[in-house]
Amino acid sequence: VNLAHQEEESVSVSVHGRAGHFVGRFDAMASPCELLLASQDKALAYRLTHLAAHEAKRIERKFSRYLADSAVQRINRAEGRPVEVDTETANLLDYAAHCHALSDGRFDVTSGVLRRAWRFDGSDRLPSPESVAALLGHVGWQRVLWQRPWITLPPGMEIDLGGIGKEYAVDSTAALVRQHTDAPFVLNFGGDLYVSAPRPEGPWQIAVEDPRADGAVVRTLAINRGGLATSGDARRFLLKEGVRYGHILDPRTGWPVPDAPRSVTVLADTCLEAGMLATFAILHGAGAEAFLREQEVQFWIV
Amino acid sequence: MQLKKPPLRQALALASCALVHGTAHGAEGDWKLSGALLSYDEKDRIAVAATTLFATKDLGDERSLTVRGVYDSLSGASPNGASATTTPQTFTGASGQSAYTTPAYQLPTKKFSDERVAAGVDYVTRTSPTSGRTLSADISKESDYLSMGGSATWTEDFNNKLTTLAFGLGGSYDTVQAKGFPTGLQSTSAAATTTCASGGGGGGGEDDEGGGCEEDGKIKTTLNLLTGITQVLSRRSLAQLNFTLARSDGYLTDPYKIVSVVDPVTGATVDYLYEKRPSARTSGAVFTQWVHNFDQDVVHLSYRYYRDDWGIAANTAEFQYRFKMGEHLYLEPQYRYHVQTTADFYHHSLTDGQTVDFASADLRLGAMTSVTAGLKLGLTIGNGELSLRYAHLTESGDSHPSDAIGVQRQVDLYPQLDANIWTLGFVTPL
Repeated sequence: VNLAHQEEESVSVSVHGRAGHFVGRFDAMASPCELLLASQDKALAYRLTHLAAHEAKRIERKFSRYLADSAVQRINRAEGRPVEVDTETANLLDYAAHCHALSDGRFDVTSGVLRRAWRFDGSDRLPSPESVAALLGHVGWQRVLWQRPWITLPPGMEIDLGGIGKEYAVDSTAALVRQHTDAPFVLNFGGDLYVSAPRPEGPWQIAVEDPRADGAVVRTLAINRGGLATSGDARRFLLKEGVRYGHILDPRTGWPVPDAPRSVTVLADTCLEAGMLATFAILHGAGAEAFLREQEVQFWIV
Repeated sequence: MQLKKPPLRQALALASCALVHGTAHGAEGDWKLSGALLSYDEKDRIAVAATTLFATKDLGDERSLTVRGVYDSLSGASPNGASATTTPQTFTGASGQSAYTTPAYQLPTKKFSDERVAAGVDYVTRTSPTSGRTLSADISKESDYLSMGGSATWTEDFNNKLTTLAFGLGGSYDTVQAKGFPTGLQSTSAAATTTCASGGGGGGGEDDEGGGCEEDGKIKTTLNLLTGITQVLSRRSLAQLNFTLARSDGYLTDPYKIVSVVDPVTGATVDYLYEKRPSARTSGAVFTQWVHNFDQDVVHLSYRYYRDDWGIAANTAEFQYRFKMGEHLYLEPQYRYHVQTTADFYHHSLTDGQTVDFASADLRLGAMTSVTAGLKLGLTIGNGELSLRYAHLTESGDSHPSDAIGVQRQVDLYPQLDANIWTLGFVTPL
């Protein structure tokens, strides 16, 4: 009896030919995803789209906050006990720890707990300062005992790798695709993307449909190589007495970063780097633009 | 790419690169080492010093390779099979080995020393998200013994990975290269005066009649089958049930062991015969284990029933309880109880004139009770561990069997074995 595939989800994939390349499409991480491959080989495009879809789904399942058997849920449900994690999860936690240090505590994978108080539904319902303050006791990477490969969360704390997960999935899947082909490609997971190399006829023309901006803002960017990521969501906010409260929270206060841009898009060497720079920028609030200038990257602020 | 980036970008780029290329598909991990130094010291008998080293490397894509190495040094006095009697006993080995004398009332033992070097590899792969395969190869060498083996195990996960079925197949091919192979059940004095004709026996097995000894290597083959099921009972409990079947064929006799022949009236030793065992052995075992994780502590309970066609039936129960003492320390008392019945052809001695097809006085084939009690202290640091274990083993059988004759009633026919076992173990990374 071969039950080997009982756990594999079926991923539906479509591949279409375009001028000089193929486009493979699938859905993962709650986003439309695509692989653009500069090749005449349709079978290869089909195979690589499948490969990418499975890798994206694998990462989605593994780091989901919602699936009971995910690595993240195992950590969050340990109720104060140490949890041993595998190499991949350990590398992500190391990365999260690095980012926490590099952002002076602004980027924090334990800040998801604050969502219990904050609901960004466009209304004027701000949480009470007491309810936010009560949750702050459960936020702070510095309270986590992380001794690779053992992680111990104090009871009541949770981690959420959502702030890294999609960018990690893009770079990780791109590395996998690159192992199988030398053909230039673009891997795009709902706007966070990676460009491996320019096509023979020049840079990729990438239309970034930004669902996070008001209205259908479409930018066409000419990109040779690198990672592009967007942080922020213009549709998620609260508005009270003329003050706009964006959904990016400062884990040190529990409150939205004042005067933060609605959305920041960065082009850097990798999708992870771009995504983290965009997130750091928003966490700098009014200083976002100055921060990005210092980093010598291409960026777009809304 | 820019050669020099702003410091923050540089740090992020490095961390991102480490994340993607440190993990991804096909990424290799570091070697993980574990090993142990073991001292096994039987009172008045054998001492073994063993060094084991395991090195495991994660090859990525859920594949791993383990290389195992063992070096044993054995020395001391090994019971030669003869039983104690009321007078001193002098033994001369076959092929002109030097003679030695055992004082009255003592278990005759022969001094020896040997070394064993063993090595093995395990290659573990996942052939699908729910199936795994382990391939192993082993080789072990002593001065007069060479064993080569291999095995394959398949596992299949069901039921959301709560149930795992395993099926294994293994085999080994062993060569015994003794200094002459005495003919079973022949008197040692006859053998000592018989010239060993080289190439004479042709390795034809123990039913060969004639010459006192044979010089060719003897072969032993073993085939093992395993099927098992592991069931996760709850977030904290796990149960396992295994069935194993083993078949050995070929030269299963110990060429260095003898059996005393006593006078049927006085019980005095009159001769010694070389032992002889059947040329096949079939055994089966059921093993069941339960592991439960309390908040901090872990308990292991296991039971094994073994039965073979030599007549041995054995029951073994084992209990371990790990007390967690603070964040890094644990204390683990261990207790093992083993009781077995005697092999059909086990005789503490034969009486003069008694005719048998097979006979061995190897104490390990006799009815006995073995108890091991130990305590392990472990220090865990991250994924690493340092541990020290002390255990005491006793093996006791029927010292004064009802069939003892004459002077045999005055001696201990199954002297108790006492052994001290120390183990120092480590697992990296510490």
